Amino acid sequence: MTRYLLEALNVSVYYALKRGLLGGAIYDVKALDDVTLRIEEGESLGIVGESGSGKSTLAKCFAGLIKPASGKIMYKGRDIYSLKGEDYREYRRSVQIVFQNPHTSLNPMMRVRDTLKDVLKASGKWGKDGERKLAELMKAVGLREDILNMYPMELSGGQAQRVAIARALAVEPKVLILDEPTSALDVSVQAQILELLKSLKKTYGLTYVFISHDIAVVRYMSDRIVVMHKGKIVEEGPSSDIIENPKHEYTRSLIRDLIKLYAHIEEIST
Amino acid sequence: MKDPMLVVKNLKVSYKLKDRVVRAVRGVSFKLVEGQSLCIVGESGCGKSTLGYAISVSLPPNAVIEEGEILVNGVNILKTDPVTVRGKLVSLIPQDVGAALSPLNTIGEVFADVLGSIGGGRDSSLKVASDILKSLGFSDPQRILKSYPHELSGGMLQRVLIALAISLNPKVIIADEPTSMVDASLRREVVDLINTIRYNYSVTTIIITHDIAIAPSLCDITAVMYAGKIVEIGPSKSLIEKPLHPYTKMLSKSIPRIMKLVELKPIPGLPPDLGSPIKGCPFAPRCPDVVGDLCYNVEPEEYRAGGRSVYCHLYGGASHDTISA
Ligand SMILES: Nc1ncnc2c1ncn2[C@@H]1O[C@H](COP(=O)(O)OP(=O)(O)O)[C@@H](O)[C@H]1O
Ligand SMILES: Nc1ncnc2c1ncn2[C@@H]1O[C@H](COP(=O)(O)OP(=O)(O)O)[C@@H](O)[C@H]1O
Ligand SMILES: [Mg+2]
Ligand SMILES: [Mg+2]
Repeated sequence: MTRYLLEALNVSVYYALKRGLLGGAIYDVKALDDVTLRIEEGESLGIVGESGSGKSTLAKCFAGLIKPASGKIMYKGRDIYSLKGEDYREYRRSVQIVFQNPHTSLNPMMRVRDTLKDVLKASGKWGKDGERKLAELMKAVGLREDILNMYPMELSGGQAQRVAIARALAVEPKVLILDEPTSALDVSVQAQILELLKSLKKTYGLTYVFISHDIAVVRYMSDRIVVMHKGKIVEEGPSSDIIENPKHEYTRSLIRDLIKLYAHIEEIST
Repeated sequence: MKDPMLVVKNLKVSYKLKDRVVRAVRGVSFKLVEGQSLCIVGESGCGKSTLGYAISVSLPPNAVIEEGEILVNGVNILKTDPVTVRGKLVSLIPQDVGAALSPLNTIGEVFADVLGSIGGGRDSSLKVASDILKSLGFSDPQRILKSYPHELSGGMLQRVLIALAISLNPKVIIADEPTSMVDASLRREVVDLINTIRYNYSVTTIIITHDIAIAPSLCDITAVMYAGKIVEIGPSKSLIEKPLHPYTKMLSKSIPRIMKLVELKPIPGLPPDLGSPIKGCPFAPRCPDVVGDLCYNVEPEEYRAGGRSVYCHLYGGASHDTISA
């Protein structure tokens, strides 16, 4: 038995891209280029890189939403595309993904209650104690119970993201893939969500893959950081090493840019 | 002291809805001289964009200016034909750059249109546009002028919108969250660009952002807005380094640092609903430093020191040296 929960082994992904209004030439975008990454149970792995570096594509590969053109995605040491029946369902349940924009990832026509109920039903977790489960979920993500009766449109960005997190938690996953979960939120709501995620990780013993373009946010959330650039992993290591002793020029530029922009807040003593 | 370029005096703006009135800006005053820059920071829903729309005379139809004055270069723009104000005295760079330009026109056509409104012919307009684009770092302005918006990246579009905003030589430029939806690498570029126009065109700028930490790299002065009012205003560096208002302090503690791992202390709860009446200090329900009933009942007045103004009962009766900014 492997100690890795999730692995990407030599994964490449291409997108066919049409250029010009009338079709024109067809180019292939190489979104992931021979990426290998192993995630241990219980760790907080951070993935950082500029927009277009392939972070979301990798996240979707781990979640089984995109099939790589070559390479393998492994769950508990087994190729996810060889899993059958209950094994496959267990994998899909165990690996949940939360996207950047909760307002587009939640069904606008459904009340929060029905969104959560559907997920519980689909995973066979809806029973006599269903209502109690809903109340627990709301409590876990710090929302009042009356929000169960609302539609996503009636929620603020932060509240909607909490609902998206509750939906992911409903099926009792092992891994949460968090793809820029706070990038569309203002900094104070971001802080609330980051603290919520930290406490959920402790409570439920989750494994995190936390993705952001902001290396300060990634550092705050992760024990280990992977830096992506143009579809490749250019550097990885323990968070403090990556920040204090970056080896790759691209990593250095990410850190340098942030320090330059945030010089004054960096210097404040605490 | 130079004459102020922009004066906002006791501005109050509301939105009329079917069943209620949202008081989005509840009495804002400040002055800027030529070339000065102001950051307006605060959480979502505090009235920052509404203030920006009011100053650029681009409020939506359901908004009403209840009270106040806005003077640009001595002109009361609320009593002036908006057509002579927009773009010419004040320009707005909207938050959603993707939606700002029609997909059917080339960038060149947009410039010709805008510059044509002041009587420029097509060729001279394109020449002016090309010069501005060049000054903002486009190496091939001709290609940009021939492009449609969808052919440009987000960063390039932002650059084009900044170029458009300065094309009529306005006195004041307002950018609504220019750094918010762009990724961290592009953010550096946007900040450099805004600073370029500040210095090269000596235009007075207002930058709206929820990110208080970025304020010193963008603006001389920072105003912290909460529930439709300014709660603290002063020189950006000292305001960040020594915040006085508990809200300002807590905003700074919401931001992850890069070099030092510092635990975040999020502000609990949400800003108040501006559709309901507000009594006392609007921040009191979330404030860790409430000084008794006073905060819940009496609206704090302005206390001034060292170029800083703060609206908080903690500083009530404070002399100038107890709040040295
Ligand atoms: N559905 C798609 N069709 C075509 N190209 C895509 C698609 N999704 C992503 N890409 C391209 O693949 C590359 C990686 O994108 P993505 O994984 O979304 O990166 P990130 O999440 O780091 O911004 C980019 O060049 C992007 O433009
Ligand atoms: N067009 C509108 N109609 C009604 N209410 C609005 C409109 N635009 C903004 N508001 C309300 O006005 C308040 C201030 O909003 P806004 O100026 O957008 O704040 P900020 O830019 O700080 O997020 C909020 O309560 C918001 O819901
Ligand atoms: Mg992405
Ligand atoms: Mg706004």
